Amino acid sequence: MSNAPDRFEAVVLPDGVKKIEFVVDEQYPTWAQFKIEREDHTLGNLLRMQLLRDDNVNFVGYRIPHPLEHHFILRVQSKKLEEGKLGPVESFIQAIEDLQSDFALLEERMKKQFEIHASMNVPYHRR
Amino acid sequence: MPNARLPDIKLERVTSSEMDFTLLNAETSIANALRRVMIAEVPTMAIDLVNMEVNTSPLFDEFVAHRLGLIPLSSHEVDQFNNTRDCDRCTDHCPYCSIEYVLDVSCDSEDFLDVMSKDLINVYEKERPECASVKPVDNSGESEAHARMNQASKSDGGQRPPEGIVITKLRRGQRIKCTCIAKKGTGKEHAKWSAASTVRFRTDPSIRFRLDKINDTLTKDEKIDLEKYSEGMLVYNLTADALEYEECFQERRFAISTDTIKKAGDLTGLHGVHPHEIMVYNDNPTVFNFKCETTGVLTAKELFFKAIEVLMNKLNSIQGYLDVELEELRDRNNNTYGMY
Ligand SMILES: [Zn+2]
Repeated sequence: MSNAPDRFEAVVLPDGVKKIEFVVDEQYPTWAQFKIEREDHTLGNLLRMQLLRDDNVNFVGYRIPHPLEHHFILRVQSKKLEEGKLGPVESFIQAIEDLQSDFALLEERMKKQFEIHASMNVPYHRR
Repeated sequence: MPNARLPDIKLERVTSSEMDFTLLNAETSIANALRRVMIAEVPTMAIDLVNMEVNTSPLFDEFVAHRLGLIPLSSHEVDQFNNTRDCDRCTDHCPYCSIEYVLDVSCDSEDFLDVMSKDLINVYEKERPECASVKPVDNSGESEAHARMNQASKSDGGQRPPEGIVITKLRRGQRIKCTCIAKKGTGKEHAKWSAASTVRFRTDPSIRFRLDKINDTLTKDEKIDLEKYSEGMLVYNLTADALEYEECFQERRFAISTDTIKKAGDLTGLHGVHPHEIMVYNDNPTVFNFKCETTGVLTAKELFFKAIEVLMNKLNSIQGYLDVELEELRDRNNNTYGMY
């Protein structure tokens, strides 16, 4: 047990470590790689699936390189950059905004459902 | 929001600790993120540090400490507490980031004595009203399960179920004395902080038959044969000379077994129909039936809304950090990267 890593390491961002780090290559402006610290499949897969919905995105994948290192790496390739098309970083920002709106909507709709449910006062609506 | 899914949600059933709901118009990633966060990332309170002073009970110190950690503490006010590691009001722990309990029980009688979770005395009770609300969960008589147990024990004349949780048992002359410090944490750190006992979801069956095609292709005897193979999923309707789904299947209770699929494929194959023509494969489910149940430290409703809040905080923090990073990148490159 003596060399077991502390449990909080999966949760706490250490001093001097950036939450998000990204690499863009001048030569390949359609590629971007994001390294996101102290996050796991919850966010990794969420972002991947969201980016796959983007028409400007050609490829997106994420991986968790090692189970004892608490970060994931997301790679995005956008389609050929043309006037009016989004680059990979913009697609990433867009994906986060889309997810925010989805979860906000979910919260709002669930609140409404609870109101409806309370007014009906039926514990077993459907089995 | 060009690529938002606009998911919908329908509440099916809710009690204080249980909830069933259906997520519509969503994707596996949304459902799974919700499930993972509900299980492992909603903060609660749990005993984390135990200072053992006297322990002559039959269980050794670490064993007792582990049991103490697993006691559910009601965490409805968990948002009013800081994380102990970044609490700015103290260097060790204080009423704004922790709860201190004292357990001091000794046995003087001939009988065994149960040391119960209700024997934990909250030292911070008078310090803050939020502290007083964090106490061992004791649902005896309240929850449906306990009500049923009470009913059963009454009818057969047995004992009432014990109130709270047994920590250890003592014989005459034995004693246990310790102080316990409860802290805020998440299930990602240790399962004792998980508020969920179950969160699961299921999707619609991914494979469905095209019954119209099957009914057109097969003869009467073959249909009856297939009905036998379907393990109750299909019913042969004699008057219409057609196979129909059994009622339960339409309520999404069943998946189709591989045997049934194989048999249907074999039978239609005799008529020169390819198996792909009689099946619909849906690999992108959009409807998710959730069932969740909490340990009692939070209500199911609280768990859901806190999970959404945690997810939103995650996304907001990523967005915030990304803005800072982009700003730095722009400064460094003197605005040469127009597209970023
Ligand atoms: Zn403190």
